[in-house]
Amino acid sequence: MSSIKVVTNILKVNDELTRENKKLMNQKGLYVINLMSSPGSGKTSILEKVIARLKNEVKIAVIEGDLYTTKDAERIEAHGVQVVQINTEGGCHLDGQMIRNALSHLNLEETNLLIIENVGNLICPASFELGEDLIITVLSTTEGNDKPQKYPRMFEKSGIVILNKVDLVPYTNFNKDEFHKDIQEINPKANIIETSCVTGQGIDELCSWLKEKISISNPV
Amino acid sequence: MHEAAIVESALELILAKAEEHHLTKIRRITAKVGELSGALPEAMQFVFLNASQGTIAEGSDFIIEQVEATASCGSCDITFPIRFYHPVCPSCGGLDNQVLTGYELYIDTMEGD
Ligand SMILES: [Zn+2]
Repeated sequence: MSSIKVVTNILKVNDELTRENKKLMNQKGLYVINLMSSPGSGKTSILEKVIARLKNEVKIAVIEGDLYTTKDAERIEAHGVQVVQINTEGGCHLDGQMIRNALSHLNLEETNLLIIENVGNLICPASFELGEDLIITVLSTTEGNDKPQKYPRMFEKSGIVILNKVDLVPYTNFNKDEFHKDIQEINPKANIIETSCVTGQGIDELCSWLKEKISISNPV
Repeated sequence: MHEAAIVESALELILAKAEEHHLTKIRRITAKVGELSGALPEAMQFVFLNASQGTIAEGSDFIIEQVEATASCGSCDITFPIRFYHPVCPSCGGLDNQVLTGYELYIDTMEGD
């Protein structure tokens, strides 16, 4: 019997693919966002608002991850931006191979901002890097303010944490003070933006933030 | 359940290593899994049992060593365990601390013939 010292990262295959994808994204000058949340937090609605606001200034492409359906991709496509749909067929996250396939279907010369809408799930997507420049995690007030404590990994890695459906706070037991305190403890560098797709609150703030980031990464 | 993807990835790696070392049977595998890695050892065991069937790793001991999460505070020069994912320094209460361990997710060793 022989004993072998292996010491190899289990996610090595994904990491290698992601490194290659990242190289391509950099060559094409893309700013890449990995958008994550649990199901039903409203991330597709936020994405629609952002696209409507930015599409005349920024060339946007979207990779839509979904378990089985094409509904979200159809909503995004209606805004006239490039969309590739990935059906994970039950898989709980997107990985490097899926992103590589999706990239081959996009016209990257015609893209400045690539938004990857990950599968709705607060746990698994946080373990698989996709070569993104920014992680945005969306939490909605109807999910309860205990989620960051329960699933900290995703919040820890986020550059922006969006608290969506703030218009519903009076009808829930969501504790905003505890939420802000928890995010501050888990990830003191995160920018927290409160949004509502009903009133439009926070969408301007989010768009200005993104525009600034894109212009930094793609100097004219 | 992302343990499935993790274990499949691990198994791919193990089988490639075994081939490289001309093993025909794998007896024992040890993996290091950090408390903060988001992977549950019980779930990994369960997936491994199924995924390894029909491979040379079938029936091997898949041992998962959990690694405690720790961080260090630059101002106090101490290392401390992280509780509930919050790297709060127990001495000064500072938050901006460096996480040292807890994110491990790797195959450490394997044995076979
Ligand atoms: Zn300290």
